[in-house]
Amino acid sequence: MSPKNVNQLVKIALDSKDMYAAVAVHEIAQGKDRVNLEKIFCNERRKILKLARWEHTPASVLKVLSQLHDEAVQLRIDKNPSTDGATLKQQYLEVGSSKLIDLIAQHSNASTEVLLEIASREDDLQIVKAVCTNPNSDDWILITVDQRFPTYFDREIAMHSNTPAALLETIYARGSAYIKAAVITHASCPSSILLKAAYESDVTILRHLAGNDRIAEGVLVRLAEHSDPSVRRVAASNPMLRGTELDKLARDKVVAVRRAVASRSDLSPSLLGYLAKDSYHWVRLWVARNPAMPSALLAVLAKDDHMDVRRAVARNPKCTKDLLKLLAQDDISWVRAAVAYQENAPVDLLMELQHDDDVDVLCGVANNAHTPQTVLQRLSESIKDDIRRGVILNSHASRKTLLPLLQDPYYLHRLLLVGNKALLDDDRWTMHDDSDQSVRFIVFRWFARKFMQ
Amino acid sequence: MKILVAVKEVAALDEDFELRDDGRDVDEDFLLYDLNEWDDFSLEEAMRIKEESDGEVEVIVVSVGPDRIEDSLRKCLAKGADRAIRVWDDTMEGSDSITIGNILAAVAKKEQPNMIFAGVQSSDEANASTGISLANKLGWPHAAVVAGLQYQANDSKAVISRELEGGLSQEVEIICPSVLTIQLGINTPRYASLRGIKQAAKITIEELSSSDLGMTEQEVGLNSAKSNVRRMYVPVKGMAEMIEGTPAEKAAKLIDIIKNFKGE
Repeated sequence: MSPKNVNQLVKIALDSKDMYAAVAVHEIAQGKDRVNLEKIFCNERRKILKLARWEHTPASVLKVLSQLHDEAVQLRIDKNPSTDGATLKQQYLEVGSSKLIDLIAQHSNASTEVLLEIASREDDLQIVKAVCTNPNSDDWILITVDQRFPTYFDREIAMHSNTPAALLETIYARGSAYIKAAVITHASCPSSILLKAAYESDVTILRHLAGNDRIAEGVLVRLAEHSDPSVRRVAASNPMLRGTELDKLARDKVVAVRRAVASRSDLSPSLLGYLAKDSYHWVRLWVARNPAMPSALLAVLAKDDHMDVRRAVARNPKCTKDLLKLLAQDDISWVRAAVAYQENAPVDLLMELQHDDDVDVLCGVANNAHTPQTVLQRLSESIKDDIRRGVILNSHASRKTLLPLLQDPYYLHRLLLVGNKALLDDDRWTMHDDSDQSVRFIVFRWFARKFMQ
Repeated sequence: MKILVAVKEVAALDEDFELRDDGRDVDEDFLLYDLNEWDDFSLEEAMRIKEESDGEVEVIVVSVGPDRIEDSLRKCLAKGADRAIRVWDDTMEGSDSITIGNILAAVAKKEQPNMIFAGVQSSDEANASTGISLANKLGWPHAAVVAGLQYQANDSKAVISRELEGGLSQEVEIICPSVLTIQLGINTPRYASLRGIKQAAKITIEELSSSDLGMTEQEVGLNSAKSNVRRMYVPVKGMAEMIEGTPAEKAAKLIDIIKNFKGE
C-alpha cells in the first residue's frame, strides 16, 4: 500500500536508510526527521560529492551540502542546475575563488542581485563575460558592464535579450559587421537602426536584415532581389514577403532559396503546385509536409521517387486515409513508419502494420493513440526496448496495458512510468524499492510532490 | 560444461577529480564504479552459448578485487550467471594486470572450465593484457579482439572472427579450451530483469584468498608486480580553441577553419 501522508512517506525513507529516498523527501520533512535524513546522505564524502553533482538533487539538499565548506563540493554545487538562487548568493558571499564566482555568474538560477554585485565588483573578464551571457542579467547590469568595460562585451550585450534599445544603438554605431548583424536581429532593435542598416553593403548585415519582419516593404523587396543568394534565402523566409516577389524566389536558380520558400506555411495552392514539381527533392519534401497542400498534389507526391518526399506525405496531417493505405505498402520501412506514427491512421491500418517486421514501424504503432489496447499489450512484450518504450509513451495506453511494464528490465522505462496518469498510486509505489537508484528517487519524489501540493 | 567469464569493476572519473596525496592515482572519492563495458559483452556471449545448448552449461563469473566489486558480480548473476567468485585478500593489493592473469589462471585450474572469456580490455587501465596473460599461464590457445564467435557447448573447436586494421576481418579456427578476449559489439547485452536482480541478491558469492588458490604472498600484490605507477598527472592541454563571437561570426570563423584545413 502506498503512503497516505508526509509522515508515512518520510518514515519509510528513514527506515530504508536509502540515500536516494532520503534526498527525495528531504524538502517535505520537518525538524528531527529532516536532521535524520541528512545523516543518511551526509555521512560519507563520496556520497556528498555524488549528490552535489547529480542533476536531480533537490535544491534543499544542495543547500545543506553547501554548508559543509568543502571546495570540491562547492564546485559541484555551483555547477548543478538545481542549485537555487539563495544558495548561490550565500556561496558568492562566502567564497573567494574566481573559479567558483565564474560558475555562479554562469548559473541560470543566479539572481539579478548577485549578478549586479559581480558585474559591479569583479575585474576578471571571463567572469564579467559570464554575467553578460546570463539570461537573468537585466538592462541595468548590462549598462553597468558597458560603462565599466566599454566595447569589451559588445558581442555578448548585442545578443542579450534584456539589452535596452539605447545601448543597442551605441553598440551598433561602433560595432563590426557581425555585431551590427546581432543588433539587427535583437527584438528591441529600434527602427532607426533598421533604417540605417538598409544602406549598409555588408552581406552579413543585409542577410540578418532580410529576416527582420519590421523592415520596410521596399527594403525587403530590394533584399529579395539581392545578388547574394544567402540574402535572398533569408528574405524568402521573411513572412512579410508576399506576392510576385515570393513567386520570383520560388523560381530562383539557387536551391537553398527555393527551399526557403518551400518551407513557408503560408504558400498559395498555385505556388505549392509549382514547387511540387521542383527538380530538387528537398523542395518537394517541404511542400509535401504542408497541410495546405491540395489532396490531388499530395497523391502525386505520394508516388515520388524519393522516399523522403513520400515520408513527408505520410506525415502530412491532411494526408487522406486512401493515401495512407497506399504508403503503408511502401517498400521503404521509413515511409511505413511515418504512416504508423500518423495520428489520422485508421485502426484497420494499424492492425495491419502491427505485423510489420521493422522496428521503426512497430515503434510508430506502439506510439499511436489509435492503436487498440490488445495490440499495445502484444507490443509491450517485444524484446526491442524502443517498441516497449513506444507503448509506455502512448498517452492512451491503459493501466492494464502498462502494469506488466512496471517489471520492464530497462530502468529508464520504469522511471518513465512513475508519473504515468493511467497508473494508480499503489501501482507506482511497487517501484519504491526498485533496484535502480534513479527509479527509487523518482518514486519518492513523486509522492513528496503530491503531498506538497 | 563450464564457461568462466573474467570480469572487472572499473573506475570512471568524475568531471572534477583530485589526485591522491601520493600523486600516483585518483582520490577514490572521485571515482564512480561500474562493471567494465567489455565484460558485459563477454557475459552475454557466454549466456548465448548456455541458452542455445541442450545440455547443461554453467556460467561462472570471477573477479579479483575488494568487497565493493560484489555489486558488479551481482549484476552478472542477475543477468543469468550461475555462480560468482570473488578473489581477494590484503596481499593482493597492488597486483598488476599480469599478476591478475596469474590469479585468474589459478581459479581456472580449480574450476576446470571448457572455455574462458574476458573483455578485450578494461576501460580504466586499458592494458588489454589480463586475458592474454591468463591464457599464457594456463598454456591455452587464445585469440584477442573477438568480434564474432561460432561455438556451441562442448565443441572441440571454435571459429572466430577478429577485427584487424583497415576494416579487415580475420576468420580463425581455434582449438578449445581456449581463452577469448571479447570485443564490444559482438552481441547486444541484455538488461537484468527485476526478478533476476532479486534472485541475485540471495545468491552467495564465493570468496577465495591467495592461500585458497595455493599462491604465496610473493606471487601476488606489489611483491609480484613487474610494473608500478610512478605518478599520475593531467598533461598540458592541447590546441583546442573555443570559437567566440556572434552566431554569424562563429559561422564565418568555422568556414575559414574548414577552408584552411582543405587548403582552399
